[in-house]
Amino acid sequence: MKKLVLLALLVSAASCSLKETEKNEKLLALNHATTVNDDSPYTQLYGAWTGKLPDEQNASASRTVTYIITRIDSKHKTVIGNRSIDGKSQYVHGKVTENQNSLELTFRFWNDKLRKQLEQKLVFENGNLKGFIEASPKDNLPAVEFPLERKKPEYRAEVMTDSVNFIDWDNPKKEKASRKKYIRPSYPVSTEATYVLNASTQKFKESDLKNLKKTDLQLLRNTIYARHGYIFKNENQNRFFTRFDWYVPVSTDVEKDLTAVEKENIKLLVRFEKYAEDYYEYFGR
Amino acid sequence: MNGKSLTLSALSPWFWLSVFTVFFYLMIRITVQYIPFDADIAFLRIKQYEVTSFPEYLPIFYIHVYSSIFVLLAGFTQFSSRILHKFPQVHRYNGRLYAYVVLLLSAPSGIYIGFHANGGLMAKISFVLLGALWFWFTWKGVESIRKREIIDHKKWMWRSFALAFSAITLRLWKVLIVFFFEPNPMDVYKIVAWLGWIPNLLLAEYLLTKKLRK
Repeated sequence: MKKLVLLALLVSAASCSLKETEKNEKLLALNHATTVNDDSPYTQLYGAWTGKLPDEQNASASRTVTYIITRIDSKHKTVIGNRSIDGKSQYVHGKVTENQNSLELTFRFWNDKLRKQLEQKLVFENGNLKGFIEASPKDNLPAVEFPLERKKPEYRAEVMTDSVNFIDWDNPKKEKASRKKYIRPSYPVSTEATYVLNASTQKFKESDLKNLKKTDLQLLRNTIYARHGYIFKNENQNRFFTRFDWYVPVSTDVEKDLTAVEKENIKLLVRFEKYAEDYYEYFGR
Repeated sequence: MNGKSLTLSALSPWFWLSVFTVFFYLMIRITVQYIPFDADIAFLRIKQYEVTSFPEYLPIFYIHVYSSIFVLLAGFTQFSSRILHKFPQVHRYNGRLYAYVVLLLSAPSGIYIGFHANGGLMAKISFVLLGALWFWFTWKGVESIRKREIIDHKKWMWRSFALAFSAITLRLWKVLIVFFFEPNPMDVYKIVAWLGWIPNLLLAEYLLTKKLRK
């Protein structure tokens, strides 16, 4: 008799609606800020800028170049971003020089074709961004200036972080006991599961996520935000997404832009991330 | 007649008792997570598909969680020959408790949730098989003592408890495998679903043959 009552109680309790824990909602705020001051006064420069880069050989020909400025660190006077030209894109970084009325960004990047390090100076003055190429008397070339225009960011749900793995530099794995005196720390790395799972286009089921480790789950979630142009507080996230030419950082708050599918997936991803954090390494299932 | 208790090795029974106590404590801590009743706590956090699709899943899951801790209690008393000879009522009482809980609650609920196990078909097969064997061994253990067949009773109950102990060995393997190899969660699970109980059973059989050949 007692067992019957207990069973009845359990069944009625089971019919109550599931509650979402408050902690998970807070976890919607992404990776905690680590190093960089994210109150850079230059956030107005963040985003994509496109212009026509004059060809050195042929004066009338030009190629379209796009600079995506991801982060300007006013303390260390550095800038990171992405440069796309001729259908190829690469991660670029450089230094920042503050002048009286203008701001100079000097990007350095490796040019595969010419097999040398190139430099490109961008100057921001009076709300306009211009590219500068120094005069080269050796090659008989004059100084050139070309304007850059802001490119409107377009949201594309299908873009992926494929073929690149995220290395979680912030969280080195605990060092295992070893006879060697110095052990190089190792870092969690995402897997190729993230090349095929798109949190913005497919509605995830539990079975899709059950076999993923925490780094993959976090990457899937962060990619949603990256697609919307979220400016990550975490430096590593910024650097990672800058490799992709579809990543255009434009906003520090993209919550209102999230689609219904993305919101559902974020809830599920946060749940699994939290579970991985609490249970993966410990005695238990 | 072999009245001696079956010790696992030359190590003192007190050593094994302390080891068992530590793990029993860890299992209590796991059980306590599920108090009070919550449809979305601990392991259920990643079983919401089952919770929402099968109304009987949640109560049966909780039957398993709440009853199984009592099953492990048997480990403290049933394998001591001292208790058996000095306090036979204790052996009988705990024995009955173990048998009732396993046959009526833990094993049937275990078989059901085994059908819904994580880790794909192979894991499901493992857990359902584990539950079924557990039920069968315990049943035979009860049957044999009713017929006063002491040796058989010992054999069946050793097998039964070896399977009950998989609750601990599964989790122990998991923590070790994760520590050394860091595989994906379900890949670990598929392995420990079998590793958790097969070696236990093999070890029990080995010890039984060794002890009873004398």
